[in-house]
Amino acid sequence: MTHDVPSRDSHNPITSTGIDRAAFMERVRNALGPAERDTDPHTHPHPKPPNVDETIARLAGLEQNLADLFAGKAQEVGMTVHRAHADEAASRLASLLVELEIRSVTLCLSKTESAAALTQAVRDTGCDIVDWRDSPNLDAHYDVDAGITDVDAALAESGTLIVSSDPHHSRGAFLVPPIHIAIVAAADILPDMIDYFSEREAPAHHTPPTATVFITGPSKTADIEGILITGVHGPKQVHILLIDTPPLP
Amino acid sequence: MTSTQTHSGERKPGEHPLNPKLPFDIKPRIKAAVADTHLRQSVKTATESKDRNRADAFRETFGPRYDQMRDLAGRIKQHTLDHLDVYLERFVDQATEAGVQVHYAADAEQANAICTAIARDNGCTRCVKSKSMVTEETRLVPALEAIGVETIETDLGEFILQLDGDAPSHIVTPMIHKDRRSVARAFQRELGAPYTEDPEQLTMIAREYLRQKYRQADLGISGANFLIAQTGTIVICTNEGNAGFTVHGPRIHIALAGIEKIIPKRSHLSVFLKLLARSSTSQPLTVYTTFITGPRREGEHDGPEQVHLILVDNGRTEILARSTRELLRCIRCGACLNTCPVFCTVGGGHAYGAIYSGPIGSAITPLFKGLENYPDLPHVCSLCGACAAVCPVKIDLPRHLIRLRREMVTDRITSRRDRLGYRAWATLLKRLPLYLVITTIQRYLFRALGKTGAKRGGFNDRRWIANLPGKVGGWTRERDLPTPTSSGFRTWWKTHHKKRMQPRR
Repeated sequence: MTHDVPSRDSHNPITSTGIDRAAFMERVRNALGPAERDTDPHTHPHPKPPNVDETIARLAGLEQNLADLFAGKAQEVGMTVHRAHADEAASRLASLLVELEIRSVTLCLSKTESAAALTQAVRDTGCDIVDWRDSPNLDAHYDVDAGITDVDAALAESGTLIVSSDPHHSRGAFLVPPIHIAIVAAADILPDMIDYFSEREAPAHHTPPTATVFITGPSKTADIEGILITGVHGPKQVHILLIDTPPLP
Repeated sequence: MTSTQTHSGERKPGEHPLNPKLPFDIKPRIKAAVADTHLRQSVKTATESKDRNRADAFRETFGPRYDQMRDLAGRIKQHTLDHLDVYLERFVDQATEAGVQVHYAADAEQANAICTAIARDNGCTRCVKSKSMVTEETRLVPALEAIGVETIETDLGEFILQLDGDAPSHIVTPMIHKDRRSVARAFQRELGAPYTEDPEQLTMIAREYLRQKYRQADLGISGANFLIAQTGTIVICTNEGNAGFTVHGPRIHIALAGIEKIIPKRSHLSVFLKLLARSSTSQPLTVYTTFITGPRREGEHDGPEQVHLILVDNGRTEILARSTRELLRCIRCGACLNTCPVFCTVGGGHAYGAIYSGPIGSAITPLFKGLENYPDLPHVCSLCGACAAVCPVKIDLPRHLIRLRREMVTDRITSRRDRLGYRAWATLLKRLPLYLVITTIQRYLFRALGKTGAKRGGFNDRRWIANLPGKVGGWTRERDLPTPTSSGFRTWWKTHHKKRMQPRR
């Protein structure tokens, strides 16, 4: 197939595979034109972008019951929420594994206080914990029944789970197995995306993780005649074990 | 299916639906689209429900703040474009520091050349690719397959289109013009799958097939929805999760992005993410919003060894000129397509003859490819303004279409005959006595032609013309033409205006 998009470029030096940074930026600068800008990049290299006006963009605030709001929104987008007190979380996880007939898992737990107890609970059900480290192409996650992860944070406004990669957290556990079980502590829940991003402005977060994913529901498609199907590539089911501090209703 | 030729080789002979012979003549495609009742109905149903759900979602979540939200998004994008050089430089600095290898493509050819060079240098032979409009622009898949890299589209809709040698007809739901039977046939023919018309089973066939491909892939290619200047982060939004498999698994990830994808800060995503998925599919967020900041780091046990980002110009710096800059705000949500009465009627048939269709396509395709090559596009619009009313970044699309129409006249792309017609019309409108004479003659003539229809009383004593002669007959083929009223607007205005203007007591 021949390529019929005409090249509109004639004045820039072109290497066989693209142009260099300076030439590319020059094209952009030329296109912008010098006269129209309110700041000159040389004398004033820090233009001020509009702020995110919270009175417009905020959808959830601290005045709400975050655990309830989160659970409700998560269910709206097709995830299943199981709520438990901190002291019964391990047994609730074990019973969930039995209920869903899960016999093998990949596990990424380190952030919640109860990580050790939860890991032990998984082991006690006789479930095989598969080592996912250094398996090429996320291979280890393909043949397990579920991936179990904790989260960086969760968003009440949309029922979103936020997970990130690090030495203890795989990029595959929440994506590849047919079931994802997320452990969310009530303290992980932030009202709004605005709160998540403003927390990330702190110096500790200046270098973001290599991969962060906002998960809002099970893998979905409506490409065939607009009919909603879950589990098109990723998990068919997302279960959230929401660990509430007492009192529970 | 294992051979690399199977995918691109199935394409039917003849012109590519989105890369037609230029100048592009829209009429045969409109005719074909209108004649296909089944297709027209399914596209109409799909777009109308999307449009309704979008409106409901925004009413529920933002209520009266909806308009302010769009305004804020538009302002952030406009600011970014006004200072695009600064933000691009910042993005490149940050991304490079995070270990991303940034490349620069002035046009489509360069983008493909960079991509194929990376694949070749790293010995890649199996590529999985997630949805990206810019790779449709550059026609990357054939370029990769030409050097022997098997390249599989993994978005379900794109995957099916690839099997069929077909092209996307909607930027969000690319397969809006196909039904389950054509999917069933494609899977049976290309994958050897048992014939089924059950969407769930069809999806599972694709799932199993694509999972094999993910496991074997050594190259993942994605687009980008946003590039964050502050951190050098690439943001990708999908519902299916295919982008996750594409960017997290293979040892090399290449992302291609148009320069207009830049936003200044992470916090700005609180505006754009809340608008994007609601505008596209009435979801609060896409199921997966993936943030990539560099390749696998020390101590991590998975993730790509190399992340490349190709910044693509391909005509964008020309659109960056003051009068058209606003068009680069577009976040490709597809809301203007779903709400457009023209797209809803003809959108399923690749009628726009270009990668981007609908109102946004009509406005940017002539800029990308030359107005002289797409002279019909500024005219497939009734200027109803629905697109501008739903655009989440407040692009005034009708204004741009009018500007293009004007340019067609000043640049003499419009035929001499039509230009003479316009000039005569302008002359007429500027001279009142002449206008009155002509409109009076026209009124009598039309009322004489009007045969059917009865008096409806009062001002509305118009009749209907069922058949106009000659070329103008096209207008009356589908509907009747109302005649002017017996008295005319000016007479009506005089009496009513006088009445209104009388002082009240």
